[in-house]
Amino acid sequence: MRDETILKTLSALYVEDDAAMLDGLAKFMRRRFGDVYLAKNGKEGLELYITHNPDIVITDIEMPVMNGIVMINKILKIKNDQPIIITTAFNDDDHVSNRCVNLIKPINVERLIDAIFCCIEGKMREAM
Amino acid sequence: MDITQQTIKFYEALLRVTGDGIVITGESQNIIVVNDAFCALLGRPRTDILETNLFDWLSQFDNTIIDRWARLETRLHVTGENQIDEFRITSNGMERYFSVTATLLRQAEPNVMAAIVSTWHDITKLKQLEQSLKEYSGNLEILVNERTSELKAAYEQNSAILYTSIEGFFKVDLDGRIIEANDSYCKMLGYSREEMLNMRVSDVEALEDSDEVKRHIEKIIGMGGDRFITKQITMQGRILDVEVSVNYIKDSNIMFAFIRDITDRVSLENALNELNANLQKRVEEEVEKNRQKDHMMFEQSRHTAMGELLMNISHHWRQPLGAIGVMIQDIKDAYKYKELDEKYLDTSVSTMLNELNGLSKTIDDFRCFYARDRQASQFSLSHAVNKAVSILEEYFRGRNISLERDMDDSITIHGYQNEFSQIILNLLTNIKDAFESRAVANGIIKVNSYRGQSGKAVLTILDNGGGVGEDIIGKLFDPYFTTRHKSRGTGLGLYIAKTVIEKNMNGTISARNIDGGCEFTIEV
Repeated sequence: MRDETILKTLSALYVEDDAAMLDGLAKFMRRRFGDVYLAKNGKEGLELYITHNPDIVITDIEMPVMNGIVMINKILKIKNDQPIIITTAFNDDDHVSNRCVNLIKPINVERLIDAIFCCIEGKMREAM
Repeated sequence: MDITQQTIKFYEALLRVTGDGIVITGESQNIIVVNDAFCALLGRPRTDILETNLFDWLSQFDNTIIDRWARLETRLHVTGENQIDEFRITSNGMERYFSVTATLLRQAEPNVMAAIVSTWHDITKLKQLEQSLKEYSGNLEILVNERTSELKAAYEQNSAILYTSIEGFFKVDLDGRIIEANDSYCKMLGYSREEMLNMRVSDVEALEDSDEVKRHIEKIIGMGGDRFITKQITMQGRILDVEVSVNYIKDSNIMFAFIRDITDRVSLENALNELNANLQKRVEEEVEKNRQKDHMMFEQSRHTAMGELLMNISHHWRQPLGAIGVMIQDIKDAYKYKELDEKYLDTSVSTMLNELNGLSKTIDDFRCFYARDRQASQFSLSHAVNKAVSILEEYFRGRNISLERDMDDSITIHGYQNEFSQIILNLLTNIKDAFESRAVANGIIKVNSYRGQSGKAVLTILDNGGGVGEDIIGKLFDPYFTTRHKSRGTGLGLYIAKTVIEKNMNGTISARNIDGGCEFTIEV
């Protein structure tokens, strides 16, 4: 069993345009992360990212105003090795990125936690 | 009174009483004796005439008379016999003819030139009669000649026509015997003329038996003629289709017939009829084929619509399904983190039910949208457009496509509402695909509606997707025309849209490139 308490030292940005989805997953994240930032589209997400520089980014792809792909590319320009998890309903080239961990909706929370750990373990290794 | 005296008186009386002019001239044409009638002829009293020269008088009429008189005198002297000649005199514009009889009055002494007695008998009337008679008979002769030659020519022409005619010609007596036949008819049936003239109509008739031929002849006599089609048999046994035109000539008790071989025509007609029948069949087959093709096309487009329906439903369902999935897992997670109490459960359950109701409603909406309209109705244009828009709204929102509506909500149109909404959905889907394939970042769709000048409702849908190539804009509404990849569309959407709007709704649909996009205009 992984020690989820380690997440409490980390911050996360979650970008999702569907309110019910955003609310639902926000609860999981607030229980585990130290700080959780929520955004309804890529533009808001990018702004929050620049302000708070979160350790991990979880984002949807299809969103109004600015979509996830655009936001991801801008974030990677700011920080090349930023861990990002994509949650999308579409398993195709337009909706995934080889620079990220890709999760296909509907989201299995266990798998999401696996993905988060996968990301931070890399981060941990880097830190050591 | 002595005998001589008496004789003179007697002759003088004779001279007076006769209507003919009488004049006695001497050897130098000197007038010795002249009677009243001759004086009247010259129009002068006797005293003026006696002892004058006859030539002086005659020359005033006509110079040629003098010559004629001179010749008359010569003949008299040579022959000694009475001479008769005709003189024409023109006096006072009148032409008069005289028959002049001259006789030699011999003297006792031979060497003395004899006097000439001439009687001038007026034959003008006779001459006129003769002239008109001559003219008349001349005309008559010309007339007779003309008519004769006309008749002759006509006869020659007629017989030439009859005998050299391509059409057969023959004469038949009342017993049905062939009594005359031209070359064409002989050739038609393959007999010599001699053979033909030994046959009866019933010998060559192939359709009617001899009793029927007999009755037919009676009918022709009764009606004066007939025109009919029958069959005749040649010497070689070939059956010909013939058209016969018969006239009964009452005066000579014969029938006069023209006959034409129409075998070729009949077989052509038969072939033509057959061809027509085949053509009819072909047309029916093609119509049926077309009907099936149309049916197939509608089926295909329906399949495409079903595919799109599935795609749209899945799009609508993904987000709520995802949310419900997360919420279910959240209950377990909340329990684990000791947050789960009755209030928490109530909130989660009602949120999830809300999402589930949304899913259910989506199905109802789509079912309603794709249901076939049972009957035409008056419906709100805005409402029909909004129904189509609502299906893609989620998608548009996710793709950052903005839809600007400027619609006159009071407009209603008549037709099949769902069918119309599906057309709008098809137009919007095309735009969506165009945005996608051309990676249009900020897609804008403008939907406007207003009352046109003609009173028709006008709906325009404009996008900024770059427009359609000018080379293909004319083909947009053709069946099976598509710019999309084969797997994505059948190319029937706009064809069916056009069919429905033009045929079912009596409207028009058109497309044009404008302002960096394509604009569809529907008028109904």
